[in-house]
Amino acid sequence: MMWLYLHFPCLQLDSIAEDAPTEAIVIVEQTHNTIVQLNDKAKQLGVRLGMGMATAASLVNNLQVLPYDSELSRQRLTKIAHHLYIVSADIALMDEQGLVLRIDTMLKLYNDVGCYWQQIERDLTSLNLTVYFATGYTPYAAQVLAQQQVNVISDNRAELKEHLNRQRVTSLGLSEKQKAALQRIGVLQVGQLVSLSLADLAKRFDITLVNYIGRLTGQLVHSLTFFIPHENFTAQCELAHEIDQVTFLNQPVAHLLGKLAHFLITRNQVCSELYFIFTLRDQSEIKLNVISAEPLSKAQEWQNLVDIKLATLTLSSPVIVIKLFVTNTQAAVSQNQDFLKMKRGNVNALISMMIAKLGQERVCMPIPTADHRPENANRLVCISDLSMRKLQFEKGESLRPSILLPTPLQLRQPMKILQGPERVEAGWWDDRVIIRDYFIAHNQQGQCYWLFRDQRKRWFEHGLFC
Amino acid sequence: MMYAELVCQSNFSFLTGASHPEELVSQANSLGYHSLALTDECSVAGVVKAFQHIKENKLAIKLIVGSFFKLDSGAQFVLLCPNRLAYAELCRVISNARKRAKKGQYQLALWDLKSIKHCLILWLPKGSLEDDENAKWLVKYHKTRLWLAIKRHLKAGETRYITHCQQLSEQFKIPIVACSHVLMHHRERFPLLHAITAIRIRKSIDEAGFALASNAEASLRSLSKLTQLYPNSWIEQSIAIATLCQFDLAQLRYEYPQELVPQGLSAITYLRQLVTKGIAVRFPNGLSDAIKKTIEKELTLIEELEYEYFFLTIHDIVMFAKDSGILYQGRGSAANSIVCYCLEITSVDPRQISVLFERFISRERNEPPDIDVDFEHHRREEVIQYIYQKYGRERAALAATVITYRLKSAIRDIGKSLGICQTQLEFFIKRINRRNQDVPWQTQVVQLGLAGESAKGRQFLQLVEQILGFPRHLSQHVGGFVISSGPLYELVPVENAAMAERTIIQWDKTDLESLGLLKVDILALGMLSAIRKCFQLIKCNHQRTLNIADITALDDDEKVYSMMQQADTVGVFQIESRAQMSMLPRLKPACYYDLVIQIAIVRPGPIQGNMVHPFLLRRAKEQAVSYPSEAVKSILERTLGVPIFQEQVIKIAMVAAGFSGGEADQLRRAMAAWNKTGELYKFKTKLLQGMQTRGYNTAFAEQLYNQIRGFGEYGFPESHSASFAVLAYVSAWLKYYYPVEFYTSLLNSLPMGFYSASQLVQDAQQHQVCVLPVCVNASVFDHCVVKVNERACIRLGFRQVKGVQHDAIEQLLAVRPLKGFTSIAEVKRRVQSQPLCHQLASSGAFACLSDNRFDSRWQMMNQEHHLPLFEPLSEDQHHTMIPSSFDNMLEDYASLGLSLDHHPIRLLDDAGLLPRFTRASHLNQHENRSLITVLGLVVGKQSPGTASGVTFITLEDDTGNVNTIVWSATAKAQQQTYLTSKVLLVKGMVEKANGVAHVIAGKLVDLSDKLQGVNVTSRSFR
Repeated sequence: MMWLYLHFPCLQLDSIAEDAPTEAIVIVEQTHNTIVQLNDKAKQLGVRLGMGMATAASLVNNLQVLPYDSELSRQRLTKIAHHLYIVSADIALMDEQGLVLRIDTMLKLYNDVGCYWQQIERDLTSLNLTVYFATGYTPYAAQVLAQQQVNVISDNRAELKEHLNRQRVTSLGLSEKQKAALQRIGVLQVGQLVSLSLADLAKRFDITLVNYIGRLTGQLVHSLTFFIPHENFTAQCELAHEIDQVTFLNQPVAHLLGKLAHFLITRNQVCSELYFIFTLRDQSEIKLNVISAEPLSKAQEWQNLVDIKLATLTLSSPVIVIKLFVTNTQAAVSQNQDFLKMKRGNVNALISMMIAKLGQERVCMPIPTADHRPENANRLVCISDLSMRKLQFEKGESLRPSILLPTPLQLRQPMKILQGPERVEAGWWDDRVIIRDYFIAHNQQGQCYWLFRDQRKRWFEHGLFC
Repeated sequence: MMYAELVCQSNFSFLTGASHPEELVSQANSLGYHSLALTDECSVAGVVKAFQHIKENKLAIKLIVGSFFKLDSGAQFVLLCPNRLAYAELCRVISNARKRAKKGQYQLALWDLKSIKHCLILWLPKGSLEDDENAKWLVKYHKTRLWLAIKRHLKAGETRYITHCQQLSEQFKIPIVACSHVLMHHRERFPLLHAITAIRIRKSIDEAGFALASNAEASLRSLSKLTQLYPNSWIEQSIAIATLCQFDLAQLRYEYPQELVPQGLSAITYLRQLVTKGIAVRFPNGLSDAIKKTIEKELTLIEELEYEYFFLTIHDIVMFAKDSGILYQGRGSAANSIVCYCLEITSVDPRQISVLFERFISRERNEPPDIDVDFEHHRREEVIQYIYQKYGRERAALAATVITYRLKSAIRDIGKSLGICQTQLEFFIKRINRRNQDVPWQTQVVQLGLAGESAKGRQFLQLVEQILGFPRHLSQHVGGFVISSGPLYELVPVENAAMAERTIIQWDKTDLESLGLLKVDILALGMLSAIRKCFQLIKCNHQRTLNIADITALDDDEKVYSMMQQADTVGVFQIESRAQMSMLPRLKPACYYDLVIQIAIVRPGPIQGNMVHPFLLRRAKEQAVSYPSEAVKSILERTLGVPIFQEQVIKIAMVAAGFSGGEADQLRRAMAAWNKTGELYKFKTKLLQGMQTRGYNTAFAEQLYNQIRGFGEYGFPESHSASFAVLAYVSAWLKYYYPVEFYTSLLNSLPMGFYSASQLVQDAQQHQVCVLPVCVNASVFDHCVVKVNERACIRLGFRQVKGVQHDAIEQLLAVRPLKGFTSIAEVKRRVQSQPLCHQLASSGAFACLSDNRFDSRWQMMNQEHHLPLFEPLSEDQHHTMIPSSFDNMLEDYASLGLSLDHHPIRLLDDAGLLPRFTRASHLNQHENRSLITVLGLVVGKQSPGTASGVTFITLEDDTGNVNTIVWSATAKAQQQTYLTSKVLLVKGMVEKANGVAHVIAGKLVDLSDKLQGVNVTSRSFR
């Protein structure tokens, strides 16, 4: 077997460094406050990988420091894998900064390693990332060489072995304790290490080291989990007859939705968003996306929403092809059959219909906010930002009116105070300061109002109680 | 209308109250309050500060002592102290509640209150159905001492709550009292209150939600406002309660343990007996009249101020140490007391220094004496246990230390509360230079990128400034013990410390001083351990019994002082630092008192007060000595007319400016705090006028005032320096006459002192002391003295090997054959601890069995289990890696922190990897101002605050140390090399004077890459 390892040491930095090429930027790992990524400018000024932030900051006056985001790195790596999947089949993610690609199976398509690498290199160039690379006869061997920036592409076993043997033991993916223990027996280079028999190593070190060395040298199998791009659903319907009226689109759409339902149900998956592309006779396309507030799988449930969306379509020309695709699916979670909770499901269906009718960005929901200021006690959150299950509301103890006026009105009528004052002073931290004394009062008609008096002793109506 | 606020929490309710106790009493006084009860949560930690502030500023307000509690059930109470008995009761309740829980927390249930007989109880109902049950219970047990406290914070639902409370009051006949449950002295602290709430619940202010107070009503409010909020009857009730509370902290009397005095004798009689016995020991040739008179004066004052038991208690402790063979020495102001000398508490002969008893005790000071006693650091725990055993944990506890917000922690916590990114906060923290007095921290933070003009930036700066100095938690004092005759918890609450088996009181040493309570400082000093060990080794190897007194009784030894004058003082107490070593050849101490001056003069005080140079000139007879009067001469003659010690300044103030003893003591305090408070300025006029009135000219008076200012807080008391000089001389004497035993003892007493084991061993070798390596067959745990061919050598002990445990070594020694191990396999078979075998192998301890430590370790690491019968058949192959000299050196440093055979610089030089350079041993051969290249391992970096940005870098080569001076401009221009080098080459210029040579650095070159693998840690000093 033969492998290519791609090492991306600056995944996070590469995405921001373009905007500020003249500034020294470092990414800091927050547990130990050490530098894990740095740009060239920082390197020029003496900052090094592994350096403490204090030392780095002492060296560079205007050092830009950002916290390391491992999740971001992982996401970027997945995207790269996705990108390369077009040209190379077996790809595995190894740690947060590297991909290993199996070459030998691809040589059927590419003449030799050189041609294969040319293709990969071309694809990588378009991504504009810092990358180091190397080939090896095992994934770990390729990884070590790439991480040490050897940048060798070769299928010559002897040459690759020579490169590997020259590397220091500190470059291996062993724990610091294991590396120190190897140094204590004079093993400083990989060549010295691999010259020791696995059996002898097994008598002295724990199994993780033995496994690592075995995999490094190919004596032990290194099984990897290969990257599988997310399975998408795509279906297309070429219409036997052109359709020039929207109402007649329901049937072919229903057919596509049926296929979708079959796809989802057989995989026990659901989805929240569909994309339609209607190709017209004049070769123009109409794109339509349909969003559901809760993930669905059944054709009929989607049909209801699609119908609403279709009602908004205007056809400039008859439709000849309908394509449906879904890019984001998730595992289905069994729905709660509790009778009392069924109402919730109705709400979701309603919200889905509103989204379908009005568009996602125009459907918002008020949620309570823990804030003493009445204006901040609720806020509207767009439905797409909301995960219904994650909300936790902190309940305040104060009595609040059922209706809060959007803008307080100056007091217009005589009132009799029932309760108060409740003094609210807040907002110094976000520049929305209020200092008010609130009262509950009723007018001559017996209606209960929520009043306040501000610092200038002016009276306002702010709400009504039921 | 008068009002007393009876529920008030200061910032000693950690992260709850937003004002200092002093601020609360000041503000309450300004508002015209009758009284203020300081009721921190399950604590009286803040009351002494409030008490002291009222006393010092003569405020009219009365302080009531109390505490606020939340029971497990959620019910809330305040207990107030009307009298001494109630106070003892309160302390007991707090102590019990604290002891049940881990540090910083407490646990209290309703039944705990059942035993209350004297405290007044203010109950704050919850406003729920539970209140009925609580009311019934409270009325049943505490009807006559119970009130219902209602606070009005203008919150929603308050009307309903008040109605509910009124119903409770009517139903159960509990009178109502008004309170504000104060958390801040002024509403301007409202943002800070929010910030500390957010910090407490570990959220940002944005996320804190309803946990934040909805308004600023929890502050001290004006009387007119209070009368609008509460009915008069409720307000009057507060006065009624306050009137009942007559307990004053000044009533607290310290009662010493009584059992120390034999039956039939009074405390003073017994003390006099002990002093008489001590005189015979300390003054075998009799007393001069002056000393007799001083002793009598001291004893009279001790009796008058009732301090006999204090001295007896300390005498008892030091006698225990003496009987147990634990070295100790009293120091500090106690060295001014001849009685202490006679009681063998201190070792400073009063004939050798100018004692000032008033510095120790005086009527005007009205403060208890403060005696610090240093014990051997390895055996201090025995003394602590003796105290606990003798007096019991009920009667002995450590004083607290209040850990407060400093700049770093303030930036971190306030920043987090405002939602500022943690990485940015860490960036500020790492870059701020706190010692830069020219640029305030606020300006530095803005320069580092904080948007100072933005709202958030302004809030950040303001809140950080406000929270600085706020208490965060209580910790245990290093060794300050409070011992009483009765249970301590009746005097002050006791709570758990973080350390197991340790309890602390809730007051720190300032509080104890304010109340006149006595504390004994049981401190640790590494040099005492080293000296005692040295005495033991000398007895063992030379059959000579020595103690400190024996050595100090000998005449000043010229040879010893000559060694000091050449700055050959590595390992010598107090005079081994770079700065001291630079001063020794200039000052050339030749007698004990010179040493006292030497120790005191190399400190920021004399340096900033411009006393050093004049003193040296006069000592070298390059400047004439003159005195403005005989009185001043008698004070300054010993230091050639230059005030060096704090006592001299005080004496001059008394003699030349007419200060009384008490005023002089206030001056001393102002000197100690002047950087923080600027109080010294108040004394300027009195000093100058006083001196002028007594005929001293203005120039002399001004000069003295400026010297005092420069002194500031860094002046050394003479008595302190004198105590240290005793140990300095003894350690120097031992180094000179018994170097092998001396270095062995130092090594066995690490960590201590200025130097690492590596540096001590190198110094030993440079003094032709033979040092033998760690050996599996010859070493024991400690380093020891052995004879090899009639020559005394140091055999390094197993303790030098990193990671080695004492128990594992004990096991090794138990199985080691009398003639030693004969093979690696035998070691492996007999010694159970695998990690120990690996560690010893790497350290070269198996050199007697194998010359390849890599192979030794390789053999040791084989975990395959062999039965002895088949062992020869299953030997595996030997390791092929053979260590070079360089490898051995690296392994030595990795395992032992030192190398006997191979210094890194020597190896690099032998390998031709270094450019030409001058070694430390040849430095003095260069002319002053000549160009030079030196290099070495960076083993020390010092940037003293007095040195205007200069850094002193110590470079170690294989022949010794070179001190280089790096000006700040040089450092800045070559910042990377300056900051990160572990092996540094310096091209510069020699500066030589009085036999001391330095190198002024010009070009810095980093050679660290030549030495990968050696872990050299540079010690950084301020």
